[in-house]
Amino acid sequence: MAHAPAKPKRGRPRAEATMRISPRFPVSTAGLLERASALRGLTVTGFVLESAREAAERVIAEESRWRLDEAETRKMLRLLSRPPRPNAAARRAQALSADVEIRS
Amino acid sequence: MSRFALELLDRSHDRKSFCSGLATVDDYLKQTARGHTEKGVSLTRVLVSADAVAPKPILGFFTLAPCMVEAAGWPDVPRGLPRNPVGAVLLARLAVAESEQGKGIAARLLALARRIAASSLAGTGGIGLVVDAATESLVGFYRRHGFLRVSAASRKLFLPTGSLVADVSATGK
Repeated sequence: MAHAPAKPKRGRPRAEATMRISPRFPVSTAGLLERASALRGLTVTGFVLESAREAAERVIAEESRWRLDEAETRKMLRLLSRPPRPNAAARRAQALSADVEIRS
Repeated sequence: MSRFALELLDRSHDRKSFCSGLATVDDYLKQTARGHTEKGVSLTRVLVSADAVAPKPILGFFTLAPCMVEAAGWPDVPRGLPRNPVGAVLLARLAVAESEQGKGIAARLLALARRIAASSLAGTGGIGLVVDAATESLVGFYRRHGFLRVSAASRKLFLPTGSLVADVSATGK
């Protein structure tokens, strides 16, 4: 198949918009940030950005982890040993979804 | 002829116009869902009219992702649940467009999510489907469909793998 020449994209190339936030840090924290960023070879902005990103990713990863306490674990074990059959509402929903073609 | 189609989210779907009434969910669909689906972080599927053409209006969607369930922080975990985290599927989001609410779309989406979760759990193992309901009234929706609340403190609900799909062979499929 012949390749059509790539169409030039209309308009300006899209760069992610940036926003200025200037947090005020206590002098001690600012000094700490400066030293740490120098050690990593980053600007203070770069360092703060990277650290915040890492923290945000950790929070998101936590979402996919469910820690059960003792009572919850006991409840969970009871459920797993005798899984209930789908109830009437679930069976109705399943029947209703017969008019949906699963494409992908 | 099917009335609806379920498709993996891609650029043929009109994400911009989608409005469920819950801003966090709408923003997720607009900003994050497609990137996650392309990278395989989680998979978002959308319900569209079977004959829709691009940009296809999104009637509703759901997002499934892998998750881990862990019995942690206390000694003597009873037998039956391994000490290590076990796999499950997370129904991370499910929403219906405001204009389509009250037509059984949510029920269809939930049934489809259960079916897809069941086949993925059948392939890899895992204890069931976890859902974190966004609001208390949604807890009611999932409970009506048989989801079980494991603790009163959180809005997480659970359905064991064996409870996901009714055996339809009895009714002639």
